[in-house]
Amino acid sequence: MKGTYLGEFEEVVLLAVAIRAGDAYGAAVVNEIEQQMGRSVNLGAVHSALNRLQEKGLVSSEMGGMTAERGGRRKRLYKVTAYGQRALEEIRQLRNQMWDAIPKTAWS
Amino acid sequence: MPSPTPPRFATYLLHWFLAAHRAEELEGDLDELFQQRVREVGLRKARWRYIRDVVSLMRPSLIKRQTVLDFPGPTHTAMFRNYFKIAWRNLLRSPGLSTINIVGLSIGLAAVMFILLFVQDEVSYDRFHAHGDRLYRVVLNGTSPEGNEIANGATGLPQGPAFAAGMPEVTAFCRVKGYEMLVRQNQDVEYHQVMYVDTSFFDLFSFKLLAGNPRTLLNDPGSVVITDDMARTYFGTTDVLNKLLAIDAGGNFENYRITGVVKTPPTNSSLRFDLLRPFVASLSPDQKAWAQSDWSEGFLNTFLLLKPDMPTADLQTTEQKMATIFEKYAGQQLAQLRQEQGAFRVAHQLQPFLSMHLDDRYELSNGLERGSSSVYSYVLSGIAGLILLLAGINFINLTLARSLRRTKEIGIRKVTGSTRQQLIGQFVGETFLLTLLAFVPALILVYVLLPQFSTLANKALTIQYLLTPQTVGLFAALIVLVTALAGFYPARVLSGFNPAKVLYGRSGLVRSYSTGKPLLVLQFVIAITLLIGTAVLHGQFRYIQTANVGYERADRVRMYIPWGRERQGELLKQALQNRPGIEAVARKSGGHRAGTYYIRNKAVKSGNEWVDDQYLHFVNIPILKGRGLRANSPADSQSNILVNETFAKRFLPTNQSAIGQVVQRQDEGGVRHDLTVVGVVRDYQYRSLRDKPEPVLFQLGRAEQMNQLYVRLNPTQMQAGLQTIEQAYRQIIPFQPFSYHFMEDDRLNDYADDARWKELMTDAALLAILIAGLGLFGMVTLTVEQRTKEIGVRKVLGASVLEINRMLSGSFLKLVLVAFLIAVPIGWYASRQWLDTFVYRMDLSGWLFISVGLSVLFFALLTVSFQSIKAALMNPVKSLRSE
Repeated sequence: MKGTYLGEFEEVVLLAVAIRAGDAYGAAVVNEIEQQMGRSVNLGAVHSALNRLQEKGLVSSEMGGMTAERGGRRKRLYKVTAYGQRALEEIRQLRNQMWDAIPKTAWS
Repeated sequence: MPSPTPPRFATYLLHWFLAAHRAEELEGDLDELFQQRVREVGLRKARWRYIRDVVSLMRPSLIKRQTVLDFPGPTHTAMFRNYFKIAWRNLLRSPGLSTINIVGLSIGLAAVMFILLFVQDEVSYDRFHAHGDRLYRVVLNGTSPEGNEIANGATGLPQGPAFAAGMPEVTAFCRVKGYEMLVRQNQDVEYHQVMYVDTSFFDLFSFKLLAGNPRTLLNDPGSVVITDDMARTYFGTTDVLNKLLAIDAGGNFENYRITGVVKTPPTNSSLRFDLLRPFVASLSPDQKAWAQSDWSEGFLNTFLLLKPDMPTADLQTTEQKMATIFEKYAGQQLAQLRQEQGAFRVAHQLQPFLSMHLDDRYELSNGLERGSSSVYSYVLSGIAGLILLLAGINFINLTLARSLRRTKEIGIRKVTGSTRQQLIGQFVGETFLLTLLAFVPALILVYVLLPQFSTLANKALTIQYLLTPQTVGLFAALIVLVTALAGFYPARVLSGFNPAKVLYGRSGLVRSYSTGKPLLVLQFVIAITLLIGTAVLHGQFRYIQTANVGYERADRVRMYIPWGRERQGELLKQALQNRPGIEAVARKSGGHRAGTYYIRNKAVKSGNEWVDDQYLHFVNIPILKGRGLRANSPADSQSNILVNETFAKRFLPTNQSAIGQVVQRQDEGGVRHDLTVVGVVRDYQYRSLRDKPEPVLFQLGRAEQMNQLYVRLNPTQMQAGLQTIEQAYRQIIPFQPFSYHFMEDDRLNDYADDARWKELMTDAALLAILIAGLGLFGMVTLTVEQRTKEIGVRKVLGASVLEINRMLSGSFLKLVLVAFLIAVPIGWYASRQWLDTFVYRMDLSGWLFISVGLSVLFFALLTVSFQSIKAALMNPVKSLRSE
């Protein structure tokens, strides 16, 4: 079924949208990821990931108001939906669960 | 300080590929990141990153235009999609019945398509001439002294020039006559159609001239115009002007100069030729002298080109003028003929060139392609219509009978607000889809079977005919018509269901489908009638083949001695006598000749055969009274004749012996010669079996009057005999194609048209019974399906397989029986009508009908049993378990 699987990059983008809550648009997401991960990402990759997330219903978007910077062009503002939130929580829970299951002896 | 700008070409690129609705935000993002990077990493790197980002944005998900979201599609497509889905599911739910429907419809459609092609070809004849609507053929019409209709398409020499000179509305005239003539190249000879035409030919007819001057190319009597196909065959090129071509001129080949090349006439042209020759070259000097003023002979076609824009009313005035001119030039001749033969009326008429092909009143002869009759088109259309009707009935029957399953669907649709119009639309639409589906196999069928049909219809139909806009339009109309016929009735019935009833009750409570039975009967009536027709056709043909025609035909072959070589024919006859494998040889004139004779100054018409002293003995026609003709008696070869019984009965006084009676013949100079009857021969079938025996008169012919050579072969040495003949023929008559015909085949050739009808009818009847059988099969399948439980209960209660089988088959076989009883009188009447056109005909016995009836019944039983036995053998445990 569509939407059940979340790729790694999609997860990163979704988290970035959540971090920039209220002001998450393409360039902001790019900045956020670059800052957090310390590597450069392409705008195209981010936008296509946002597109996919929206198709899966994990984020919603609407056009923002006029802005002074960027030549007066409007921004498309993304927001994590409830479903998106649940998906993130599930991923986190799954990770924690798996971390907890690692026996203490595994690292030595 | 002006802010730094990103690379302009990248921005252009962005605008070029980006969907309009995304441009603003993306450009905004790009711009923001660029400005930010200029500050952080410098202009050069920022510009570089900008380009990379633009390239990375070129992905389908971002390029995609957003039309769907901005303008959502019309909402009612949802319903259409639902209709399609339901139609498709219904089709798949019972694949067997759907196949029957589609196969039946395909066959019906294919039949109609064939007939459309046929009719289209018929009406397309001669349509390509630029002045076609102004062209007319001069024909003769009148009443004979006996009160019979005279209708003759042939005219003589003077009509054309006289009418053109005497009537201002005639722009031009052209006389046309054609023969098969031999063309020689090196040692090979072949027959080709040569047409002698007046120099005005290209003014009247729009045959495309590829080379030569249309004004002058036929002026020289030694000129010839050939078709491009001929040019390629004989010279390998179409650049043949002024080359020479050798054509047979009656005994020797003469070279003619090629003055023009014309495109080969299309197959739907009444004027078809390989070579054109000047008309004047066809007239021998003496013929020119007497025929120039003879209005009574008819041996060519006269065409007139009238002035443009003549109202049809003026044609009558023109015909009256023609009558005046006729009276002026031929009045004396007519008066004399009336005196001799009794009062008759005859007048020239104008036959429109465009309707010539389908006008069967006036024969198309003297070089014109044989005409057709619109009757053929009507009969064929009728047959195709019947086959389509059968397929349509199948469709209606199966749709309605199956619809009992769909009552719930209809009920729900109505309850949820569907109007009756919408339901009708849905069901008619389903029919339309099915018809479209059936159209594909029909087209394939037509494509594959077109060559066979062409042969059957004696036409050169090609697949190109299928692609003309006209045909495509006709086919589209056909689809609409079939949809309307087959779809509307079931749609009306289905949409009329009362939702309360069908949803409340179980499906069994819905009234059962009752119209099916009469329709099934109708189908079988049609099929059985066609079968009876077929049986009668076959019976009559067997009769013709075996009928006693009054002379012997077995083991006898006939050869045509070419024009101008009749004397060599005599040598050939002598050479063949007493050779091994050859039993007897004889000679006779060819064709069916007829002449006018005078008995006590009264003119009579009689067949006229020139024979040698052997011929009558050769075919075993006995001499009943008097004696035969002897070759060595001068009186016999000059003035003694034999007549047949009919001649004697009809023309000679009955109170005295026929022997010694005098019959007079008039020569071209008007002098009469006495002929004395010395014997009477038994009647034999002179022409076709459609006619009564006709009066025939036999004379000893001179060698040049007899162009047929007959040989009786020894049946045990058939091959050797034929080889002997061919060797002798090649030796004595060189440069001539050799061919022979068995006399038994000749008789069948006389009925070639009827033979084609026989095959067409057979095919049509088989198709009809096949489609009717499919329908029956479908109906039985449905009945069995609906009565599965009932059959199960009956079996549990002790019914035997035979009883159940009888119960299921009985009702259907009864229908076939009823159909048979209705079809017999129809078939009998129609057969009677057709057989009445033959004087010699088979007896229409009851056995024929009974055998047709029995075979149809057997066929129906087979069809029905297939399903009913299967049902009767089914284990009741299975059929009763599911609920």
